[in-house]
Amino acid sequence: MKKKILVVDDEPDFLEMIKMRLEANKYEVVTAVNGKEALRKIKEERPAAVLLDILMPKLDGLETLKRIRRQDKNLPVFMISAFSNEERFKAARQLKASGFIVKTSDLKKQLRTIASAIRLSEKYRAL
Amino acid sequence: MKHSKIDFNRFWSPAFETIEEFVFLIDNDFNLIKVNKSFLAFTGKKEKDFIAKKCYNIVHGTKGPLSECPHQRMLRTQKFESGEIYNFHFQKRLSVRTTPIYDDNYKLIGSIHIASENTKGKKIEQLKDEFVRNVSHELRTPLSISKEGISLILDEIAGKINKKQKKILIAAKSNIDRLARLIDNLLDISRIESGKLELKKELIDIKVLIKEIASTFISRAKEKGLELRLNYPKQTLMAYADRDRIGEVFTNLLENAVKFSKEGCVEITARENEKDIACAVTDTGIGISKRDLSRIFGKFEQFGRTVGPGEKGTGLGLSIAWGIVQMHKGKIWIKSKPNKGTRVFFTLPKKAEKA
Repeated sequence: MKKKILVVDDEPDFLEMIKMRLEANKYEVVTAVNGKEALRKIKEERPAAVLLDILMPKLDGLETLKRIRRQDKNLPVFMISAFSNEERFKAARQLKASGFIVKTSDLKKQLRTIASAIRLSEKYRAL
Repeated sequence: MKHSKIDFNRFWSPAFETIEEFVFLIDNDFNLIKVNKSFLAFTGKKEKDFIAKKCYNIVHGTKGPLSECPHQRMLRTQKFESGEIYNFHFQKRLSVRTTPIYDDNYKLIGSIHIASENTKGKKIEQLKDEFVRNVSHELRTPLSISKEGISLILDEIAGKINKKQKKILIAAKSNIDRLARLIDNLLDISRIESGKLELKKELIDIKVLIKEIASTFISRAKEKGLELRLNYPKQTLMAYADRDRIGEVFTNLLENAVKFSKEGCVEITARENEKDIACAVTDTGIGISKRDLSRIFGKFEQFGRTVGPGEKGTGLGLSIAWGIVQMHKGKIWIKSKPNKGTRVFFTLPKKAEKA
């Protein structure tokens, strides 16, 4: 069965690119364009992992992460950022983000981290 | 002091001793003749620690005047000069005003130099910093989307492509990387200039860092037929520094060394002195003229662009390296002769400063 990933980003073009990349890696992809929609989709779709843009209008990435963690401490949530030394990373780490994805770096390599995080979280849930 | 003919005291008044700003009396050779109470209080030192020393050494910690030095400009124009300078030594942005002073025969003997912490300038710096951040972020988003789009096609996720298409897309992708690096550099230099770059200093093994950075240049050096040499002693060399940032310094220096050398060798050396760790990057390239050397650490300065087609840079590498070394309280300087190669030296502290 295909693993489901929720990608949250306010840039529709970016969503399209990353969706193609993830689907080529045998994931099923659902998307959301803001934090509010993300929280709703997590409830409805029950994804195995979430990729969350750190900078979004209205409900931003960190706030959304906070709310996700209130409901689920183990769901793998990766923050997406345009910068590699983003200051918000520190705050995200404190809010227990599972990892980071840098938009300008090679997405291919970063997918491996996501895959292992999903495997790990499944093992944890199975306990 | 050989200035007995000129009575500097008449240029000095109690007013200078009272005001908050730093006031200096500097002669034509950049020697400090007098400094005011405010500056003494700020540095916690005594007047004798400053008098007859070179102002650029004491105030900026450099071996020569900064390229933006208003006193230097005043020596040329003999007019009032002013400017904004970020002082790494004291980590302050200063607004500087320099007025020439003359003897009875109307000969220029030096300047009154007043430096204040410019609060209006600070606000402007803040706005500039925010602007650069926002623009960088705005630029990176379409950049990353374009890059991923090209990658998707190159990886044939959107269908098969032929050799020609592959070649075009590889060129496009590497130029997007170039653009991303330029944005990174702009952000870096802006943060360095406004003193907002945070360093994570710790004890690091310089030899390990050098090996790491050098390895990323192996293939490029090979392509150009250049020998890459590492020269350091057997024992460990520990410096107190920010690993990533000093790595950036080595990378920028190696970038230049490889870029501007058509043949010969690029050597990285490091050794331990009593008070610091001294590093150097040497090349056998086209070198730098004396005139260009004085501007070499300025932003966007790039000399000898005719060398190496396709080898273009941002012109910010040395400025960034300079800023990072300064922030570590180290020294950085260059020795070079046209067509005889270039050697960039820099020093790093061995341990944390005493508070």
